[in-house]
Amino acid sequence: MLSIRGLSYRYHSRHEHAIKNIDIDIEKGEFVIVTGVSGCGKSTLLKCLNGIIPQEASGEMQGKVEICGLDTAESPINVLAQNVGLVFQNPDEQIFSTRVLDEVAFGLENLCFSKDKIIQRVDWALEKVGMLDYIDSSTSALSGGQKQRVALASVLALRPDVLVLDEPLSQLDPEGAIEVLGVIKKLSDEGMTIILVEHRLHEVTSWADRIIIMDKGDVVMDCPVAEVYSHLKLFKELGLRMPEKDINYDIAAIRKQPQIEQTEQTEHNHNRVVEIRDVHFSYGKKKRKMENWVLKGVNLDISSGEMVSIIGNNGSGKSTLLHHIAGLHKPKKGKVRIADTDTKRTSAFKLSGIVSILFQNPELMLTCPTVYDEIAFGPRNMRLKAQHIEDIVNDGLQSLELSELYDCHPQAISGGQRLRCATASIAAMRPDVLLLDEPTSGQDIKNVEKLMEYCQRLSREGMTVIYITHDHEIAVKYSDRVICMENGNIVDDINLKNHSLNIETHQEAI
Amino acid sequence: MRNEFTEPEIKKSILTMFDVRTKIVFLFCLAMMGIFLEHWQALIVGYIFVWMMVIVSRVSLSKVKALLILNILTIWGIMWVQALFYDAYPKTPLFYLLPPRMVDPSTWIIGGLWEGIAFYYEGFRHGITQSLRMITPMTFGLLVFWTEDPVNILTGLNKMKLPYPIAFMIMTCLRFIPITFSEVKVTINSQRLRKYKPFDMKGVIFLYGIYNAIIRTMVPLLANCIRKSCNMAVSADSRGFTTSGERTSLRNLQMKFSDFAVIFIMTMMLGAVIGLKGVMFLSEAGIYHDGDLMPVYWFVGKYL
Repeated sequence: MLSIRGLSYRYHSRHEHAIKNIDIDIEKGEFVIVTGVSGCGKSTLLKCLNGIIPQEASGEMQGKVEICGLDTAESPINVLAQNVGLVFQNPDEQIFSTRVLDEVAFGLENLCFSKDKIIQRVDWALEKVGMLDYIDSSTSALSGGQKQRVALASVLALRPDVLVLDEPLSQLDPEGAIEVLGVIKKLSDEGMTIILVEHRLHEVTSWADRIIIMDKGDVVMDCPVAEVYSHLKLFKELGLRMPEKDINYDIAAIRKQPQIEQTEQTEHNHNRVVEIRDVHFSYGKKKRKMENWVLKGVNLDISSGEMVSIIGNNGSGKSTLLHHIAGLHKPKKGKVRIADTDTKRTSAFKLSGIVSILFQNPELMLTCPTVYDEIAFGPRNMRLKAQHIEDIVNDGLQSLELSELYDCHPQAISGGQRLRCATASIAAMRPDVLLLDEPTSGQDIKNVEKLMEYCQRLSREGMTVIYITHDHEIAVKYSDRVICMENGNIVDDINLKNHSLNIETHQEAI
Repeated sequence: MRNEFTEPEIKKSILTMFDVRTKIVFLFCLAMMGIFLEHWQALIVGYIFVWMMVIVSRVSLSKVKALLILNILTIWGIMWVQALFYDAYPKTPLFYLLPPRMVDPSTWIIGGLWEGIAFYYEGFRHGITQSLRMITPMTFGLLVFWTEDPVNILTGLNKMKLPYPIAFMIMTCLRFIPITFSEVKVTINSQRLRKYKPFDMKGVIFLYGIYNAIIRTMVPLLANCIRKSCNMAVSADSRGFTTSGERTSLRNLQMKFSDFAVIFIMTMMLGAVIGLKGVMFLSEAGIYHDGDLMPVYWFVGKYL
């Protein structure tokens, strides 16, 4: 079905090869996971599979890729598109149309299918991903999981023999990820070859037949999933996610432990830095729209120096709650007090310095010409003394391993480095409360761990850190408390201090 | 973030009865008439007609309000600017900011201000004409965008022989307007939340504050745009998109009798305006003049 022989590729402006002398054979109906740390050559390999490399790229390629007998260097891309379908990480970057029907029909129209055939294929593809009821919906009205399923349908409509997915789960909550994985598994069972690139190995490994690990452009491991557990050392060495769920960090299991307590909200907590009382919020401006509450009577206290994670499905109100703590949204009912300041009586910009927030898309926060200036941006605006600014910036650079990049443009560094740079720039203001909106999405575990360890250090120094994540293991590993949100309310507030002690004792015993 | 101003509302109304190509031709005729008509009385007829279309199109009240504010600000701004900078004769000053002869004509650089600085009546009239020329097609264009599915606009433009890659780019731009809005908001908020205040008195007076604010907002937006465009290009390529070659279309546009009737009336009206203005031009230039056409000259001179 798919044969890669001696494949190497070097980008036009680079001295080193992005991938080196790769040989892979994949059979029809196989479900293969390709993984590796950022920059290991996974994305380059994917572009070689449907002819974008070498046909649309100006680098240097050696070797041969054959899919269903077609040489990808010679067959036109629109012919290959019917054999290899590519689904990307961010659904917003692959949806072109405003309606689901038109989006799924886009590829079929490009390949000159007849109207009847288009309708038939669109219905089939949408049914496969469980989105047929949304055929006439606006694409902008869909949730993240639904958008990803539409993106999948738009590729499936071409009925490719090989489906290649580049981190399709990174933007999805666990429920959305299972939805998408279920669809992919079903396709694999029906005989479609699946190649899935993913960092979240603990969530996807059990669904696959085979796993390939890449490092520095090479394939360093290629084995069936059943044998993967004998290579766990390699995962650790490369800094990859372990391919199995760690029961120590499983939220469902933790909830059942008798020593785990629900955090109590008391009125007389003198250490309290965040106080949220009966907060209701709706995005509608008019009274009649107020019934669509996004937050429905949220109560929450967070003390100084706590590290708190917020988990929950897309649309459960996590980001809205975080924006309330930052003062960007004001409650329609109830009150939010941050460091004894009622957010209704002040603007978010007056709260800056007390609260800092990292938005979901950190690259949009990077506005300065160098990494150094970016981290110094906030402290300079606060008119701190030059020496103090230098100390803070150097601390941020060193703690987040950005020292070598201090004079690089922040937009020219890698995704993980951009995230760390944006985090360092808001933490440099030394706020009382540091808020991070999904800092783990689309990042490899090395980046996530570096960031979380930095936040833990800040938390130990007295800063309150609150972050949203879909990664339950990270939430348990790097929090004092895990707050679970569902349908606009907090359904669980788990105190993990006892749990962390248990794990440490357990690990020491081992 | 969903931005209601960038999303169409497909409700049944007189406007949705017509094919998108009819609306595009209508828009073109309005724009062309705006170029040829010189009197505000004629232009205001077209403007009122467009507003009648807005009312019957059943777009949401917030969109009507936005349109109204946009119209008022445009008319108001252009009128005052033209009244101040009107430079033709005769001109009737309504009131002076700087009285005449305050400045000696021989003064270096500012000698030209010896006439004084005033708001002129003729400038106001000229401002009304100019603003109506601009806002009539702009209002109708927004109305088409708000009442028509962008894919239909794409198909219509394609059927009107606009090359598909260009029509595709237009449609993709439309789809990304709300996303860009939310990105601008994130960038500005992230700066303000780091206590960035570019618009202090000194920064505004010496313009560096405005320059810095623009650069600091544009750099992350453009960098993000480039990254997104690269991913989108790969995604489009992998679904068989080519800039040349044939493609089929799921949507079929059907012109009805009413469409042909509207197109006929509008093109006839545009033809009549161009013809009448041409006759007037020939007369004024001394190329051709016919005494029997005096009522036509009078009508064109007074109303068109």
